[in-house]
Amino acid sequence: MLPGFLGITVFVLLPYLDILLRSFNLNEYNRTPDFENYKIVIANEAFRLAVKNTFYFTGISIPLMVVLSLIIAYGISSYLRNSWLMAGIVLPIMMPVSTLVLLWRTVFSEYGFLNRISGFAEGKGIDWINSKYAMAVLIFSFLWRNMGYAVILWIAGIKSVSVEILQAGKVDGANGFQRFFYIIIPNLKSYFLCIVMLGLVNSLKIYREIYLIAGEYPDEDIYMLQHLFNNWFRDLKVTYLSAGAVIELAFLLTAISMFYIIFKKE
Amino acid sequence: MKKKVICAFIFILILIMCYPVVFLLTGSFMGENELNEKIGILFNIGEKRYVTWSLLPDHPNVWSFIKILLDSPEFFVAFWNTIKIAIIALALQCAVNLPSAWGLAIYNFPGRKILLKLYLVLWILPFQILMLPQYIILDKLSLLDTIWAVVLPMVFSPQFVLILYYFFSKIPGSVFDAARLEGANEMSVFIHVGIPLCKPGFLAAGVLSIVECFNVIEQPILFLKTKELWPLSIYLPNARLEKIGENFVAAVINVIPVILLYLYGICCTDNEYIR
Amino acid sequence: MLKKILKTVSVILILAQIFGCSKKDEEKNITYYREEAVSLPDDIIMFHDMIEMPNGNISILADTKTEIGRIFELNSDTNSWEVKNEKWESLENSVPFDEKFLEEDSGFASVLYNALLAESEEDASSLRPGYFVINKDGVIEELTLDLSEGYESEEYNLFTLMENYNKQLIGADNAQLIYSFDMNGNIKYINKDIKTLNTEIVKMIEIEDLIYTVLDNGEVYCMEPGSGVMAEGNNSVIEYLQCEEEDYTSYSLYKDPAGGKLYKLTKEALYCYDLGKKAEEKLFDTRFYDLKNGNNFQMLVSKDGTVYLSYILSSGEIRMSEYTYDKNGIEVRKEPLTVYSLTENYVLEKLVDAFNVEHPDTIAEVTYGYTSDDGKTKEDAVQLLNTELLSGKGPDIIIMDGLSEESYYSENMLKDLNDIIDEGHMQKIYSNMLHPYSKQEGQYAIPLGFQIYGIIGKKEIVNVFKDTDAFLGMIEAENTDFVISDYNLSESANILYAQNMSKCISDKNVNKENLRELFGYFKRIYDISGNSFGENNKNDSLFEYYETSSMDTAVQWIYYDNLPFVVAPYFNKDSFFAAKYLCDKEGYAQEYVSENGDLVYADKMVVSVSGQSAKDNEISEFLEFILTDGQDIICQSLQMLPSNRDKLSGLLVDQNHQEPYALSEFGYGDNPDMISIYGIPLNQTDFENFEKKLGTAKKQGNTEINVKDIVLKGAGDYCLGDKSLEDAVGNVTNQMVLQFKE
Repeated sequence: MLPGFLGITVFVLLPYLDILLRSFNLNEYNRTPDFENYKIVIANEAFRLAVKNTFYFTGISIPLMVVLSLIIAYGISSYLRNSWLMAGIVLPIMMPVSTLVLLWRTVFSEYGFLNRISGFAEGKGIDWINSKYAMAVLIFSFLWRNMGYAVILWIAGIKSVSVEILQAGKVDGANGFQRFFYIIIPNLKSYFLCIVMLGLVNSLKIYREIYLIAGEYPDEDIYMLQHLFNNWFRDLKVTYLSAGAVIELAFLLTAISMFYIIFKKE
Repeated sequence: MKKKVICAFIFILILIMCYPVVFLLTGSFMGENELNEKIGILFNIGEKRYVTWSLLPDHPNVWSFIKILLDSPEFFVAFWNTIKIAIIALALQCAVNLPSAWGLAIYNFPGRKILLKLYLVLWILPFQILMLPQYIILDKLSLLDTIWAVVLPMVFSPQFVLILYYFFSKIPGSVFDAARLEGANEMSVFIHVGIPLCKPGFLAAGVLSIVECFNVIEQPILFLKTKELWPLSIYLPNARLEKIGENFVAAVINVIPVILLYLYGICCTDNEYIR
Repeated sequence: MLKKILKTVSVILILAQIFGCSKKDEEKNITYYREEAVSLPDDIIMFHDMIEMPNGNISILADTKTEIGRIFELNSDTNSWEVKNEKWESLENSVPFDEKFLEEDSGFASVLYNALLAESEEDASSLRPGYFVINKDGVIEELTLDLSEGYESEEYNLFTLMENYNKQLIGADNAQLIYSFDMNGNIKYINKDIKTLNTEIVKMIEIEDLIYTVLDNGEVYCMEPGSGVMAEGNNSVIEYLQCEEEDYTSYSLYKDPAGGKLYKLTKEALYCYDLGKKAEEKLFDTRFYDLKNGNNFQMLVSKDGTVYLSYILSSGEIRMSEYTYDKNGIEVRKEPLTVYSLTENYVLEKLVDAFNVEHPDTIAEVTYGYTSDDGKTKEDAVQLLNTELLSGKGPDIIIMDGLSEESYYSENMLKDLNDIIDEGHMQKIYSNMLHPYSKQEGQYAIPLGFQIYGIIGKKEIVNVFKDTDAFLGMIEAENTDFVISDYNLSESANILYAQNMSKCISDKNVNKENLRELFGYFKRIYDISGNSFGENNKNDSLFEYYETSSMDTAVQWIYYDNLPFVVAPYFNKDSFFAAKYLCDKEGYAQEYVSENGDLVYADKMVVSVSGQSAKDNEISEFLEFILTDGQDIICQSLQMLPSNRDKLSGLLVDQNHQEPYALSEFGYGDNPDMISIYGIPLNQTDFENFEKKLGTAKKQGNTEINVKDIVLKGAGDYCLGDKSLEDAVGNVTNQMVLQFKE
């Protein structure tokens, strides 16, 4: 069985190794692999802006998502038994992006609900998407879409903590709060990693939404790495694209490794 | 008291989450005039006033439904294309990725950690970067402009493997040892013990994968040239007001299979959740 | 076990698909029919029908310039055409719309009777169709066919004969009713079934004593010819006749007189169905032959199996080819030359068609990035193009309109055109137009045409045209309604943009002051434009520049409404002529849009060659064609002027005819009087003066699609009141700055 299994992994890997190799190829000038491209890319102002924005976005939304969904998951698992209700939570992730965009426009544009509720006079509201609150709108959209998923995973995790330990905790006199912190959380480690990873991947996918709402050149604050890559591709600057991608990858790799190390150690 | 508050809070949360689907449904039943009135301003039509919406349409009509279901053959072709892609992708993923996840989780072989890290890394690469190399590879394999051009990259995406890996690794090893002691060989352990236990994980990964299939946009545009092969996600064009009613309906039809599948999945794993 | 099976099955599936795909490619490479052109009799303007004579010769029924209804027989020994009948004297003044052979020497004609005699409008409106049977002696008999069942008023209803069976004339009228008349014109029966199906009849054919009618909606209706009653047809025949195409202009059927074989021509291929063996066979693919460029086919298959096809090309030329079977097979043509354009471009299609006609050995094909009905966006199309190019697969020739040509060049994706084109041809093109596309390493693109913009109007206004502020001030003082109407709002915006945009960008920085000024100008013309169409404008952008009418139609409003000025592009010869007339004879003045003293032009149809293409010979053939004969097509197009100096001069100058003549007539509203717009061709001096200016003309700057779109959209937002001036300017600046940073 092992050889067959290895065969499968090789088949999976091939497309990807090829891609990796490719991206390195493209980074090299004709003969000597030099770092010229990297220098250009790092110096590029648009790149820096995009990196800053992406960092900002990921840095805020992922922790927010993890923590919020954990709280909600705990609440649901303790007080609700009906799993059908939970189906509702996952709904957001199933929506096609274009409809989602329309929905956001009804809420956030100058003529949208938010302005109405905030009592602005007609026609004088703020176009939230193009203002300095753009980032907030984006984070809201991301949370809204992905939280459902995280909640479900957390619930699965919480449920997997064996009942006996919890009973033991109760007996020992710990109250709900303490039970939560000292028993459940340590057991959720791998779920935590999974959710963070999922969140990371999905946060990079938010590009599609921004693109549909704001086009190729959105407000400065929400100009993400992927906008840059997309526009570089349009202008055929594939070498920059690859260099940028490798840099992004390197960052992510280090971040993930650090994560792993910190949390596996515990 | 505390419980009630929390329950209420959760209810509200769920309502907020569900709102878009309600939005979709009401929208699909509205006639064009009503849509113009309510959200026309987003398209620079009508006077400048606030967008309005109601929970139920004022004048419900099924005009948009009729137009799409009866009048647009392309819609059906696109719809079935999407279904085809989803089913084939899911089937292949089971065949290929389940064993991989199993192997990664259970067996300790040299290079395992590296492989894992590699999968993680590959998962994160956004499509913009992969686009070109994948195109070239597909071209060399002559798979461009066939359904496989969309299915294969999806099947071999690490997402499925990794989620299942997490679930498999949760299962305490003792269960497997017990099975092995009883004389089962590796294959039976996998089929009779592993698969049943991973149902929630399978549900999770499966739903994500199907959502992906229904939302895939860039790949078909690049890899599929003939329009007959295009899936539904491309058929939902950028929302333009003239076609917005149809857009809503198409979106509804896009969402419903996914929801149904998910509910079905919950049914199957219901016993696991409720304790 | 299960898993192993699953694994192997999936691997097999994948492999099978891979091999399946590659095999498909190999099948397409050989064809077994040889195509040869058949020269037609001179002077033929309309080809109606073909028939095979008992002696094996082919006869055709056609109209020439002077005579209608001539039967020509192709003498197989001398290979020349002989006229076989007397001309149809009594029909001399009629206009035929359909003619068919009944037998080898008798025919049936549907005409607009004595149409050529109609001298006044009343005569024309009372024209009636006439139906005539011409028998072997040349005697012409008129049949009165009662088509009243079809429509109320008869003159709009025309009968087309489709099958001649058993002394019955079977055909259909405009209402899709099927009639059967006997040879005296009496109705035998009328079949109304097709009318209820809400579709149109494509072709009718008699097979084995049943009439099969192929319909537009893909169905086939079957009928008893004797009684007109619906009948149950042969299912395999019906399946064969059904056509899934959307376009029936290439659909044609022929049944050989012996009754054994049924031939069907579709857009893709020629098929043969053997009625005896009930077997279908594909004879050849149309893509390998000249006939793929044609329409309105007539087909005949002679007893020895040679296929004759007549067709009309898009240029109007009528051709006929014969196809003989060659059992050795013929090597397929090489792959076609792909010419890519981002959006639909009819001039390009005409160019490619004309090229294909002149160079039958090389096939060129047009592909579009995105069209209005295929759901892709411009960005998707660009992405696809880039992916294809980067992976080595893209089109051979690229029309750069709408793309950012600079990036393709800087990434070395384009070939140096100096290597491919003769220097002689290059020199004919205005060098300042070539200049923006020439770098140290070579010439990477050539514009085939260009547009310039200008103003015609009262002298006071034209004199200040260069100073936008003063110009706008003058117009505001004029206080004339509709001096800028919605059709030329975008044109005016375009001109404002052309004259003022370059001040706003300097060296990758945006000059906000000047941008604010420019937006101020936009607002002023919007305010002047006396209409409220703006709010209901369904376009994304108020000022979105779309090509509207040119100067020769814009001046209508000077004639009609006495407008003090019009701004419009000059892109056909009539524009120049109309302008000259108004300036020389009516005291108006004219000015071209310029910037810092130099004329501003926008180029169109910028052609370049992809670096990956290996088809050097074909490409140089194509490029030479479009720079020489192809320029004639550019001249004919109403959307641009040719960049070839000689052709431009040929188009605009007519030294010998310097009197005014009416270019066109138009009427408006309830005034029935038509007003004529006059024009005078340029003389040599005029042209030389113009050329002097053209020689230093500068390409309109900042036409990179992104920048222009961003600015126009921002201006539109500001004018409509959606954004304040600060916001709009700020937004636009941000976007442009972002773009420059990249």
